Amino acid sequence: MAGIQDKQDTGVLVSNVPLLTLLTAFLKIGVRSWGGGTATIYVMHRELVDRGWITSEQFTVDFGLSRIIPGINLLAMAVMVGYRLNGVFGSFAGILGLMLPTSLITLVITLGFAGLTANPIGEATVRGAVPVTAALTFALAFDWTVLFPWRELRVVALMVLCALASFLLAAVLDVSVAFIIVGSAVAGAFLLRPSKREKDP
Amino acid sequence: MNFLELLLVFLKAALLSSGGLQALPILEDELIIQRSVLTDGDFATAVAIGRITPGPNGLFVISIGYYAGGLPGALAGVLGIMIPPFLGIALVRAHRRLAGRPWVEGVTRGMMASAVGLLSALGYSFGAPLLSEPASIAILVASLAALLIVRADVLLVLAGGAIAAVGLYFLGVPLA
Repeated sequence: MAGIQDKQDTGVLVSNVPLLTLLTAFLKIGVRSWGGGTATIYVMHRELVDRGWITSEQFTVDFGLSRIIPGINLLAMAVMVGYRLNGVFGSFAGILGLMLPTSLITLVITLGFAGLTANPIGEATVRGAVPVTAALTFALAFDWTVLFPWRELRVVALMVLCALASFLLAAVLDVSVAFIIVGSAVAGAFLLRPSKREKDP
Repeated sequence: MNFLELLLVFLKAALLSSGGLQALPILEDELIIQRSVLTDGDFATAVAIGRITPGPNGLFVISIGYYAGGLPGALAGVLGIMIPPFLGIALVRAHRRLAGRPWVEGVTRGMMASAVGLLSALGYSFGAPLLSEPASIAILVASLAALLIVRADVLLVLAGGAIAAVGLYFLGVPLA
């Protein structure tokens, strides 16, 4: 497992994934993620974690980090995960894989859009995707709570509080997402450190 | 508009925004208010296309690029959103250098917790408008069960939602 992977990248389970394999995985993510960004996060999570490339924890960390970067977060996510899996070339494989099919489909839809919206069945299909998209979001949020360190009761209680606060700030008060993430990170640095006793399980 | 001008506009919008949809008001200001190359109708169409297309939110810039400058414009849109994400490499390197320290573990946990909250907030923004129509809520609950209990494939669940929606359309049941 040597190579360009940093040994401190504990959430990355394999190193130097062949570029073609990486590209194919992200092409698959692009083609399969109908239903907007949420579907993309969901498909990406399943694709990367189920292949045993990165841990779910690593995924949530990169999800948070990607939100600090300007522009489309999921593209930053593709760059970051690609970089973790095979350096700079990996980052290109990641973002190109995600962008190639999706931008071509976007272009094709742009060229033929008038015909699509005139059709009530097309319109109904789009409406049907909205509740599924909401469900994808909640399902993933639930899956991520499984990652909380449930044995450390104090930490978990604080993390649940932090998740609730993040939800309220974003959903009700419309506070900027970057602010919420940075705030949670700073609070975490002080309040959520692992206690000495349970280090190195 | 020519390729280079558009590329600069798209880059500016991407660099000043966080998340694909935040680029929208910036592009609106640049392309509708300041330069009048596009109309509100073009924008509405582009955003609608962005919602149908697979992949992350924010690909509507490809449509906007196309309306403002043909195929080269669409390419400018693609490049404009693909360049800023490479800042992620610097962030990964910084993160790696610091990994392993207790306070970084705390930061990670804080971000993990906020990710759960923020994702739920996103689901809430999709879900809240659905509460007025029982049929939409039924699709949401059925999808959630399929995903969490059966662990069904995403494409199957999306296809199920679409088929249910078309069926309900023929039965005259309203969806939100």
